Amino acid sequence: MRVLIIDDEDDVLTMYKERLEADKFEIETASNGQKGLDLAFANPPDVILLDIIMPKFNGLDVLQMLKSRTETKDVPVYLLTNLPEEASGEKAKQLGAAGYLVKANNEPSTVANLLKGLASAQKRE
Amino acid sequence: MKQRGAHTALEVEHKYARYAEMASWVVMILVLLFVRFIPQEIIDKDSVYYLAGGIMSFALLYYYVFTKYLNPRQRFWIKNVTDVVFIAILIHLLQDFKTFFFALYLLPLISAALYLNVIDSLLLATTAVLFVGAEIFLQSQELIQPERLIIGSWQIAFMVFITLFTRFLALQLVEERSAKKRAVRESVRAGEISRIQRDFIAQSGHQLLTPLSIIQGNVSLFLAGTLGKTSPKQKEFLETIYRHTQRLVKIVDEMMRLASAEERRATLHVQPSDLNELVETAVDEMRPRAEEKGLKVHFEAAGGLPKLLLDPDKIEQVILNVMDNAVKYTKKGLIFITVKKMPGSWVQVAVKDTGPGIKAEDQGHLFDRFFRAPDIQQVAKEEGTGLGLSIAKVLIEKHGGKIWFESEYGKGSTFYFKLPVAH
Repeated sequence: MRVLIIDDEDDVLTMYKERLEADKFEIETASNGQKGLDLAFANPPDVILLDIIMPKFNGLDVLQMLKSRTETKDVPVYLLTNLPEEASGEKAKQLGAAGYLVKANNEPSTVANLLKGLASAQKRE
Repeated sequence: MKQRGAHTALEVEHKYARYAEMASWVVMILVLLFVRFIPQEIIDKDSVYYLAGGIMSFALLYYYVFTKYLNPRQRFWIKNVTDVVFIAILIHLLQDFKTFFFALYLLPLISAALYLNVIDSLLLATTAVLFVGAEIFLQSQELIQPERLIIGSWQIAFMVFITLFTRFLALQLVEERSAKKRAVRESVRAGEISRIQRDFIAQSGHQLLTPLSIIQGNVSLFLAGTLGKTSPKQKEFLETIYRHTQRLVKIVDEMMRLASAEERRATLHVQPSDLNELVETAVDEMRPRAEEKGLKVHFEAAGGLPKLLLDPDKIEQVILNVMDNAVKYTKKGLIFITVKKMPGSWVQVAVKDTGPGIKAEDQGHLFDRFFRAPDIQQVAKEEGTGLGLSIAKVLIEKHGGKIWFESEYGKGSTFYFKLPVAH
């Protein structure tokens, strides 16, 4: 399963990449919204993990862009962020995010399990 | 500072009042100069020039002396009275009843209607009417056409109409302006503070949690064995780091929740205050509006009330917000405000109205921010921000008090709030 992670903190990218690659996921990373979109449009992944608060290109804007293009609109996007859910959970749902993961409560192993579940669900389809 | 009629008319200090004042002086002086061109047989020019001299001296006296010793409203009142008197004299001297000179009366009448209160402006209109009537009477003694009488009566009717109409306009303007100002103030304040708060909370939360989540996540990689084998001892100490990081995350999360749940960071400036007086002041401020709608306002103070520790400005705002609703949404009947001592060291303020009441399905949402009952547009044409009660709730609860209501749809509502008596 191919996963694209977009987050402005390099340490966050390293953290999740380390664990997910150990679980045999194919990982692509981008440290800003624009790079992330370029990668997603060029080679649509199976899942996208997207940080919301990023300088210049806000995560919610990236989400909107992803949902507006045919090649990426069906890719499930999980918002990976530090804000408590009330802060922008509503807007995220409105824009079509698949889920909301507060980083502090969802360390790499949790995300790995979530993605494993997703992968087996997708295989079954 | 709060004059009896001041808030039912445009303020005399208003800049247009000054312009109107100056304009009327200019017009009067121009008219007197114009008199110069009227043929001698018609008038006795000397008396007119004496009149002109009188006006000039009065003008000087007015601006240098009266400005010093009288307040703007008194000055305004005197000016309008003297205007009317001089116009009457002028008309008498000129024996001219035609439109032009009569129209001069309108200047003081309109400015009085705009800037003075009801009684004063009606008195002035009556005075002008009396002068016109007197002039008609004097002229009729010399046996002149009855059409003078007819014109005269029309002129009187017109003056009364202009005065009343201008007053009505002025009141509308004042109402509109103060309602707009209030709504803007409220929403700006609430909106601004919430936005600043929300931004600050989101920012600081994010800044604290980002490094924390990275620390926690990295430690978890060690513990999960993703980074290679770790000895049991290493695991033990890594687990300690992990546990404490989790604690920090929980604390920050809780702090952020608390901060965002708090609506206002307003600091209370508490001092011993007389609640009866506070409520009475607020009632007095509301009273003219209510009475103009034909509502009866009744206030009952509590006897033997000790001074309460509260922020007088904030509590006054609460009372005004609650009463504002009562006045806005009650079409007829009464508004009954009481202050009562309650058992258990509480003082309770109740505002009862005979308004439309609140529907059961709306009752749970009444204190929500920006909530306005869906059918409220039919009940009150006035705009509202929907913030009055939510702000009141926050302020009362900050004082350690409680705010609630009882309402029956179609019958009316009573809003209560209680404050603790400090020891």
